[in-house]
Amino acid sequence: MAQARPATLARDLATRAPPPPVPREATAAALLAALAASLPFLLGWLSIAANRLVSPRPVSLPLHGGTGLGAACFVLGCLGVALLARRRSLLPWAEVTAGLALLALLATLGLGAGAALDGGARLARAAPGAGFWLAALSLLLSAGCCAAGRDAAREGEAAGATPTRFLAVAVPGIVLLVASGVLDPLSLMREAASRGPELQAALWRHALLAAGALALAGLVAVPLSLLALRRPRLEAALMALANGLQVVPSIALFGLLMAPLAGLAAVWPALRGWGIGGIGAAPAVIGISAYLLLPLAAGLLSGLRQAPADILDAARGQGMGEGAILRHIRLPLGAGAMLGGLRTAAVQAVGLATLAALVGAGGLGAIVFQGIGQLAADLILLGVLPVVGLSLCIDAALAAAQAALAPAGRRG
Amino acid sequence: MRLPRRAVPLLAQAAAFLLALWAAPHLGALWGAPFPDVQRPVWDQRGWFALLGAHLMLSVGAVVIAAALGLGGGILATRGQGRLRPLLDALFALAQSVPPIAAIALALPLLGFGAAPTMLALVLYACLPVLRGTVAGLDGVAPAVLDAARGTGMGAARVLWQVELPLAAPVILSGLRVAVVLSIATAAVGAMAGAECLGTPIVVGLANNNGAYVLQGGLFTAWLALLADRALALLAR
Repeated sequence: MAQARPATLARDLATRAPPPPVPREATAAALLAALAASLPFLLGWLSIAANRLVSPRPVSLPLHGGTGLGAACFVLGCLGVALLARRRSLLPWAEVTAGLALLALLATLGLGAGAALDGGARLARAAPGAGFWLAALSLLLSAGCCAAGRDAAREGEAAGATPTRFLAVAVPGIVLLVASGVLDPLSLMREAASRGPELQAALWRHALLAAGALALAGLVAVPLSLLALRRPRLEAALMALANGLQVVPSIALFGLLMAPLAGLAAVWPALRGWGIGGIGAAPAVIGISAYLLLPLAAGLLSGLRQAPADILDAARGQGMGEGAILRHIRLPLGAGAMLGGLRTAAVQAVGLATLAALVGAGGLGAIVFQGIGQLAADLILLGVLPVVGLSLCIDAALAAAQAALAPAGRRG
Repeated sequence: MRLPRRAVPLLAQAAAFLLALWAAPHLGALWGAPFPDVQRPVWDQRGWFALLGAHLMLSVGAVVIAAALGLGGGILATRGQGRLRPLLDALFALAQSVPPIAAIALALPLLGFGAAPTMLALVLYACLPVLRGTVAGLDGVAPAVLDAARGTGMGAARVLWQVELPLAAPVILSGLRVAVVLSIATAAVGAMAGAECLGTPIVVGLANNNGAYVLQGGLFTAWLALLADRALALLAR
């Protein structure tokens, strides 16, 4: 090896091998990274209000000590994203660096808020400024660009732009930052600390509502899709129903479900014991699952149809029954497409569960609506940020599972 | 202009919808029947036609802005060597994983309450199907057609205007249809943020435990969304 290296070096120099082409994603990723690096400085990192009642005003960050170090790390991270994105093989590392830059941004914000509030009154509240939010969004999109390039290299086409690696770095990092107490000076974290148990209960309730709706929709969609595979008229009816439901606004559907469920509970009071009534989890879970029917059924049917006709013919010729064909051919070949349907449905379930609070079913939406009622921005964010985080994580996890399944499906 | 035969049932449905809106305040017995406990079952806080007008202003206004943004963005993204395409891919992936309700709620602290945050969220979400349709439609134009157009001496602007856009129009229109339906349906959620629309009776009814209000608001919001979907399906043909 040691002897071969000078030889290749000499050959490279002799032939003047052109540098590897810059991936198409480099421009967009660099543009977004530059935007992320400059926005906090242009639009402000922090806004501080003297108390809860007055409106906040942007303040400049005291850029010395830990805060200055954090800001320097953040800018260097953004620069790193732009540079690493220029090589296709380094795109995954650019994505990881974007995650690290986000963590540096957050740490800077926490340290800066601590320094800015140090001399102030105890009632003063520090919130992230517009520059922070837009920088975080730019970093997320920049990571998405890198992910799109990575997938394009592997799949031959843009399979998606879900920043799996970015989230794999950022989510544990944010948990560590929160646990370490760096972010405690922010009013959002104070709000979270004062509502700890309530927030935790709401998070579980939210996940339970979404999972329940997903399970209910699956119970309807799986048998109907299997039946519809051979019955075109049933398929047309199923798809017309699922598409029609999609058009009905969710808030209207929840409202419309309350009347019949309240009626049912009035006729058979025993149902109330099961938790079924006009108010509560029943209309929410039924309403959410109605919207999941379309992605689940469409994903299942397209998955079941992935197997080419000649393979199915060969299997039938060997004497395989329909059950065996389903288990050994249709399911392994269609797993990727089915997982895609599940992914869309799961993300929608998490989002729609926010509206469940409207019909008294609780969940994170209850915190959001409480915040809207009190005109309290921190409370709204406290409810919304976990919803956004949950849907981003579920989407990324299922996207990773889909990517892992895709080659296996092709081999089969 | 001759009225196409297919439009007749649609016009009849629209007339029925308007008639129902007009009759709603006089149908107290109907709205009150499923909710014997409710004292005032008839929604009378604001006229139905005013709510309908506000709802349409909000959603159609958002779609007009979104169409301009989406069309412009889609054309820009397909020029050059597609350097901005990855940005669009990232944007689509993000929008798919963040629910619109969360976007409206996130916009609230930034823009205050009322129609503004709803409008912003509506524009953002209605923009995506138009953008997607524009990019897909322009991508679908065969390279040979473009070559032929350039060969006849057409400039880039004329190729875009006279060849690419007409060929891509059906796909762009289907994206626009998705945007309109999405916008009308999501505008109802804006009632929670204080935007006045057909969703307002739902939110007021839920807050005051008045199921009859919820029933009326839900019925008319769903009806309007279904009507708009039918109308656009007719246009796209």
